[in-house]
Amino acid sequence: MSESQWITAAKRGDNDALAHLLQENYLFVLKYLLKITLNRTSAEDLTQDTMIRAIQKIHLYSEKQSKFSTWLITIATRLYLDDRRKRQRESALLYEAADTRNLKWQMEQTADPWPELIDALADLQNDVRTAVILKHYYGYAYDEIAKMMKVPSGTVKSRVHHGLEVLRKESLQSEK
Amino acid sequence: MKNNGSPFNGGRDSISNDRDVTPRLSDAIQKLDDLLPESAPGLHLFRNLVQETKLREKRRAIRDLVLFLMMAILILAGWALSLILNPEVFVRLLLVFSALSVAGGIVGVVQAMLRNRGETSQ
Repeated sequence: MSESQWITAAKRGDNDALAHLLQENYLFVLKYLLKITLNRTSAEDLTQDTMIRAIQKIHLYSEKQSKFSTWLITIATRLYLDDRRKRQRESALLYEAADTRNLKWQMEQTADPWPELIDALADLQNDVRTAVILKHYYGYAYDEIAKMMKVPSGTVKSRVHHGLEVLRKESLQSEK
Repeated sequence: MKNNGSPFNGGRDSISNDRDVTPRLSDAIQKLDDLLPESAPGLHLFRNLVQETKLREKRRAIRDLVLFLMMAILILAGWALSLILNPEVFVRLLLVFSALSVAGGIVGVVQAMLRNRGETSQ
C-alpha cells in the first residue's frame, strides 16, 4: 500500500492505517523535536502530543497542501513554540536557553565529541533555532516555514539570517 | 515542499556566505540522531494510542453535548417560566439579549476588520 492509500484509509476511520502512518513517521518527528528542543524528555513528550494531535485532526489533513511528514512537522513546531511560550509566561522569564546537559552526558558515553556548535544553537531563541533548523537542515522554503510558524515570510528570513550570524560568530570564536 | 528526511541541502535560496557555517551546523545536528533509537515502538502501541485517543474524543464530545443540552434546557426553562409568570420581565429580557447579540456581532466584525488590516500591513 502506498502512503496515499494509508492516508485515505486513515481519514475514513481505519485505526490500523492511522497507527501504521504514525509508526512510520514517529522517528522522523522525534529526531526533529530533539534537534529543536535539545532535550530528550521534552522531545519524547512533544512527539507523543504530536501523535495525539494528528489522531484528533487527521480529518483536516489535505494531501494537496503538504506531505504527511510535513504536516506532522507543522503540528510539532506549533506545539513546541506554544509550550515554550506557556512556560515562559508561567515562570515569568523573558527567555530560557535550552538545557543540553542530558544530551551532553549521553553523548559523552559514546565515542563522539560534543559539537560546540550545538551549544551556540542552544543559546539561540527558540523561534530562531527552529527557523534555522527547518531552513538549513530540512531544506524547507521560507514560505513553508512561515506557514508552519504562523509568521510572515520576512520574519522567518530575518530570524534565519540573525541565527546564522550568531552561529558564525560563535564558530569563529571557538576556532580562535 | 522540499526534502523531508534528508539533511542539509545547501539552502537553495540562502545567502552564499552562510555556506561556511551551515555544513558544520548540519554535521553537528546530525550527530544528535545517534542518541535516539533506530526503530520506532511496535505497531500495537500506536494502535492503542489511536484507540484510546479516539475513545477519549468520543467521551469528550458526548460530555460537551450533554452540557450543551442541559444549558439549553435551563435557558429555555427560564424563558418559559418568565413568560408564564411575568410577561413584562420576559419582554425586557428579550430586549436585553437582542441588544447584547447585536453588540457582540458588531464587536466581532470590528475585531475581524482590524485583524485583517493588521495582517495586510505586515
